[in-house]
Amino acid sequence: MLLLKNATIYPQTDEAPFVGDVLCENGKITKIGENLAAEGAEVLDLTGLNLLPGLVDSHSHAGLGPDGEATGLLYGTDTAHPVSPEMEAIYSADPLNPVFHYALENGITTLGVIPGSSDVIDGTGFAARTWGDNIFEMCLKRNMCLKLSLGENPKGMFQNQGMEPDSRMGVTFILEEYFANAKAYLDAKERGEQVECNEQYEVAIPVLKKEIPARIHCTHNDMAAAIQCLTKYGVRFTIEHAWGAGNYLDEIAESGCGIVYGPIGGRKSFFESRFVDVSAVAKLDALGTECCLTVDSPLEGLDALLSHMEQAVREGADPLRVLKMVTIHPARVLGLQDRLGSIEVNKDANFAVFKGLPGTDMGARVVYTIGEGDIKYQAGV
Amino acid sequence: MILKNAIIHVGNGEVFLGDMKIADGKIEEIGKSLSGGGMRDMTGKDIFPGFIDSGNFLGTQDMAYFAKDYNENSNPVTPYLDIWHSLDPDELSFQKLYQAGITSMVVTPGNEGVLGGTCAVVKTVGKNVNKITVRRDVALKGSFTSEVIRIFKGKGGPKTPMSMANLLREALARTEYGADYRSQRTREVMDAVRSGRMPLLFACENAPEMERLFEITKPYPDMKIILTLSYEADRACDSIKERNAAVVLGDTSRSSVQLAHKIDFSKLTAMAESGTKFGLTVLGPDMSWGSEMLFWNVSKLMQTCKNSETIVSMLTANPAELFGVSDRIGLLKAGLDADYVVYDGNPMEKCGAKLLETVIGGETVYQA
Repeated sequence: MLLLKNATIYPQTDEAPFVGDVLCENGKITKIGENLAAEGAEVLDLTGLNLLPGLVDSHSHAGLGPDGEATGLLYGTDTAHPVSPEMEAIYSADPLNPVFHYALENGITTLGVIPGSSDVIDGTGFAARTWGDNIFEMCLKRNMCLKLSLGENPKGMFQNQGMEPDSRMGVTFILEEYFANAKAYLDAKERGEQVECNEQYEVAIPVLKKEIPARIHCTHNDMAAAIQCLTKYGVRFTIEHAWGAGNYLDEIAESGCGIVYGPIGGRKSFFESRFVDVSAVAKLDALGTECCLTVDSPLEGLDALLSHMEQAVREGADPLRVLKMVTIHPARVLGLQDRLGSIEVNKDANFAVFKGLPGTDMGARVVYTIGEGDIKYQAGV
Repeated sequence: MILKNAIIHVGNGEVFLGDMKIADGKIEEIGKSLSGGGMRDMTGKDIFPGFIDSGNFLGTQDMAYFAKDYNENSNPVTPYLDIWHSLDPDELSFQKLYQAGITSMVVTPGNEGVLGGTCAVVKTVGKNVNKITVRRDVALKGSFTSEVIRIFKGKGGPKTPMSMANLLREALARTEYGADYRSQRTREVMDAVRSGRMPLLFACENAPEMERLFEITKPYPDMKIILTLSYEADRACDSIKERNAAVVLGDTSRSSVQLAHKIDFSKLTAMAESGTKFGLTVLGPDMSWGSEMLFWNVSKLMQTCKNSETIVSMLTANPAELFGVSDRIGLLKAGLDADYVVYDGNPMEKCGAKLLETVIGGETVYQA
C-alpha cells in the first residue's frame, strides 16, 4: 500500500487540478480525496509537487535492439518484404536494454513499442510497462496496432534491393492493394465461403473491424493518400509523425483520426523533414483531433519527451492540453484508456511526480516515478 | 527609435527596467527615461541580446545533405583551412535560427578532423557571406571523438585515440615550417593557438578525451581551451577548472546521449555558478541539429540553476567573450550591434514565453 499525500493532482479527466491524496493498493488506485489515511501504508509526502499519471509515449522503438537507446531500430523492421504484417515487434524486443529504465527516469511508465518504417506493412506493435526483465510479462497489450508506412523509408529500403516499391506511388499502391485484398478476404469469410487461410490478411481483420487501429507513418502529401485509403476501408487510424499536418488540417479533422506528432528538433532538410510544424498540434487540438506527442525513440532520447511538450507550448499549444498528449491520449491510442492515462479510482497506480510543471515551467523535472503502486525511480527533491 | 520600459536583460547577469535607443543598426544608448526619436512602448516585454550558438556547422551543408563541406576528409590535420570558405548564407538562413532567437553563431568545421580548421562568427540571416560575417579565425576547431576514427580508419588513420593524440601533439610541437603558403598559414594559426591569441575549440564527448587533451596541451599554459560537446564535463570538473577551460555544451537531446553519459546537470550549473564559462550549441556528436534544441538544453540546465541570468549569459556574453567578438555582440550595451530578441515573458523560466521579434543590426528578421 502506498499513500501519496498533499500532491497537486493533475488528473487528466475533465476535472481541474486540485490538492489531495491518492491511495494505491495492489497496483491500482483505490481512493482519491483529502486527508486520506490507511494503516500500514507507506506514506509519501508530495507537498509542493505535481502528480501526473505515468507518462506514455505511444510511438517508440525502445529495446528493439541490444544495449542502449540508439540500437532501437536495429531489429525494428525486417526489410525482407514490403508486406510483412505478420511481424510482431515483441519478438525483437530486449527487456534488459537500459532504455526501459531510462524511460522510468523520465517519468514514462508505458511505451507503445512498434515496428520501424522500412516496410509498407510493417507488422504489429505492443504496449509495455517500462520495468521488468521478461518482455512478455512487461507486455500490457499484444498486437495493439498494425503499423504501416508511406514515403521515403519503405521506398529507400526496397529501391536499394531492386524491388518494388521504387517510388512514392509504388508505396501507396502496395498499401491500397493490401487493404483491398484483405477486405475481399474478410468479406468472403463472412459470406461463409471456403477460403484458404492467409496469415497476412488475418492480421488486417481486427483492423478492418475497428478492434485495433492502423498507425501509419506519413507526412505532408502522404497524409492525403493515407486518409483516403484508410477512410475508404473504414479503418480507425492514427497518423504517425504528421510533419506538415498544418497543410492538411481539414482533412485530418474530418477523418476523425488521431495524430502522434514527433519527433521534432531536427535541422531543416529535404523531403519529409523540410517542414516540421509542431504548431499544427495546437491547431488540430482546437479542431478536436486527438493529439499525442512522441520522441520516436531512438530518433530522440526519451528525455526529450519533456522537450517536445515545451516546444509544443512554445509554438502555441495550451500547457494543460499538452499534458493530455503524453497521458490519456496515447493511452487511448494503445487501447488502454481503461487502465492508464489518468488519475482515477481503479486505474493502474502509475504516476510521474514532478517538481515544476512540465510544459509550463522551464526546468520541470521528475522526482519520483511510480509503477503499479511501487516507487520505481526516485531522484533527489 | 527608442524601446521604452522594457525588462532589459543585459547578458552579463544584470536586469533592469529601462529604455534602449537604436540608431544605424547599433545600440546608441541604454538606460532610463531616454528621449528623442520614435518611441515604442515595450511595457511587460523582456528584451535579451540576440542569442549566440557557440559552435556548429549549419550553413556548410546543403539541405539535401549532398554537399558536405564542414570536414576536409582527405586529411585529419588541416589547421590551415577556414570554415568561412564553406559557408553558404542561403543554407544558413534556411535553417531559420532566428525563430529560436539565435542571431549569431560560431560556424565551425565538424568533429571529423583532429584539427579541422578555423571558425568564424556570423549573423544567422543574410544572402551575402561578407555582410553576415562578424569575424573570421576566431578559434581553431579540433576533435578527439570517435567521429575521427569513423572517417579515417579506412584511410590510413588515425584508427585509435592514441594516434589522434600523437597527431595533435606533433602539430603543437612543430617548430619547423616551410616557406610555402600552406606551411606559413599553418604556422600563423598554430602560433596564435599556442600563444592563446586564438582559442582551441575542441570536441570531446567523454571525460577521458578531455583529460587527454589537457595532458597534451600542458606544455602550452597560455593556450585557451574551449571544450565542445563536453558531455562529461561534470566528471572532468576539476581538470577543467585547473586548466581554466571553457565549456560549450553540445545538444543532449538525441538518442543515447543522456543514456550513455548520464550528465549530472546540477554539477554543470555549479561549475557555471563558480566561474567556468559556458556556452550552448545545437551541435551533436555527428550532426548539427535544429535550432529548437537550444532551449531544450536550457530547460535541462534550469532544473538546477538558481539564477536564470546564468543561462542568459551562456547564450550571449560568454560566447561573445570566448570567441573575441564582445566589441560587436553579446550584450545590450551602447556601441554594440542592435541584435536583440523580444519576448512576452522570460523564456528561461516559462515554456510559454513567446518570441515576438528577432532583430539583427536594427532590422526585424522575424516577427510573430
